[in-house]
Amino acid sequence: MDASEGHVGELYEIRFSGSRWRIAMRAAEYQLFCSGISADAHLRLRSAFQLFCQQGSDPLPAPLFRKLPGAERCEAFVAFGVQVIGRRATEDPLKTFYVTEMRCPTDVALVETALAAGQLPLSFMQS
Amino acid sequence: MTKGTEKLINELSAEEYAERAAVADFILLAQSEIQRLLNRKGMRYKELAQRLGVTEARVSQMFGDNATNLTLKSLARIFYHLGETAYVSSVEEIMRERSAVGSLVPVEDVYHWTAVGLTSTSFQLSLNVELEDGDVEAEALPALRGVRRWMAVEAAAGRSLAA
Repeated sequence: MDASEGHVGELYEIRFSGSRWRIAMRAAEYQLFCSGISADAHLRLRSAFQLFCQQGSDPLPAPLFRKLPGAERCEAFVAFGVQVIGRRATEDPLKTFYVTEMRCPTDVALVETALAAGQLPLSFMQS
Repeated sequence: MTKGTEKLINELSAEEYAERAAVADFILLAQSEIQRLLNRKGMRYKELAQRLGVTEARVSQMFGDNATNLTLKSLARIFYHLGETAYVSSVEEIMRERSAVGSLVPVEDVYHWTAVGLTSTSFQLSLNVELEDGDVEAEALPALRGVRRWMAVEAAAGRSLAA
């Protein structure tokens, strides 16, 4: 995955960089990070991004950075319910972590509510 | 948009942002230093919990978003049970001490000495030690004067410091 991937008009840009890693996000995810999540989540993630870029993932506490089960090579920063999901570009000599998705607690809550109400999957809804 | 007492990041003033960012950075710094020690010793939360005499869940909370139960006292206990000594300083103070000692001179082409944890003024060092680039923190210790003298002697003798 490199900076040219993604939807037209949604190119990845480097948002954080350090001596070891860089983190790239598209405009939508970055906008969400900057103004669409709680201050607590933003600040913890910001600290995590900076530490990751400077020292890699080894010193990050397990609750903060983890592999996603069932998703090949996907990892996530998790803070106050916000998940920043992405993949490391191992082919990239500059070592970049590309954020592919951000999940907020409200997103999770909406899905759980819909599931409880029997609204998902749609194929099971009665007409 | 504000949910209850939660604020969005753009609802913070610059001063509030800076202060809360400093808090978040320090919390993660403390957690990551412990994590680094655990990694180095090949230890998991479960074993740390056993050493502390607490549940694994309690240890996990210490590494969580709110660093629950990660107090100064518990930090000191954690370092003690990991065979280390907790030390508190400021970046500015470390930089002042480093300036007083003098900056490290790279030996050969690329090596710098990472002296975190060096507490003794006398030590034995194998010629096969591998020096590597790393974060240079807390280096301004009196013992480093001895390190510099040793490095200068080795360099003068033409001995490589690479493994």
